[in-house]
Amino acid sequence: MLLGLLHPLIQLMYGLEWAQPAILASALAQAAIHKNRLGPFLDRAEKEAAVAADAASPMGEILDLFAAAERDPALRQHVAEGEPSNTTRLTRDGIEDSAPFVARVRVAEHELEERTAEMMQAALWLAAAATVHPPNVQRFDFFLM
Amino acid sequence: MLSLYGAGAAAADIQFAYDRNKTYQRPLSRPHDHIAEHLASWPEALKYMGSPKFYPDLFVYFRGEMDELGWQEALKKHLFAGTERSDDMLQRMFSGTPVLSS
Repeated sequence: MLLGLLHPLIQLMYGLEWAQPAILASALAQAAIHKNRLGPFLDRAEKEAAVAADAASPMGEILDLFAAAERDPALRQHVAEGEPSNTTRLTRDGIEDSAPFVARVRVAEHELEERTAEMMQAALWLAAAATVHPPNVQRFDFFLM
Repeated sequence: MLSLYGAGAAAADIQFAYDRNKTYQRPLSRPHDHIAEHLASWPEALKYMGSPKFYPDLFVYFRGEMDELGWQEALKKHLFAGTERSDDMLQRMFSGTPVLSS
């Protein structure tokens, strides 16, 4: 759902991996030349998460959140199959519904490693499910990159 | 190429990838005069963000921040400080490519 394409983050990760200031500087510059379209949505999600923190029900499993989103009429009303502007519609037009939903995501420091592993697993399932197209065989080159 | 390097590719493979992909690279452009100085102020820096035009200036500015603060403190200041500026930058980190409109 968080569909920027994460390119600046990818660059940043390489810079961190090898502690290379030039790569890090280019990652920051790359981020800076992008418009901040997701800003209002991310701001709002943070606020919702902060408010809900004490009373919040546990986050649950990542794939369960995807299943819950799929069933949620408040979210479904903002998307249409095959529509390229779904992300904009969800995060901008549908911000009242989408921001509280994503505010359910919270990761405590002690669970960072486990949640990172779970995130990779969930992403793999999603990529695999989204690319089922027999008789073609799925490729994961891009995913691995 | 960074992916290939990270996956342990041989030099010849990295060179192959470079040659295959260099045809569509944008030319390097030069920094403009005096822009990097303005980037230290916020929200003034916003005027130079959000379009590819000032990439060289932004790169020069961030490179300078790395030199002056060390890369760890530079990242803390520009992404993780919880300031309006660093939150704005952190949000832009999730973006796609500038060419794509959403």
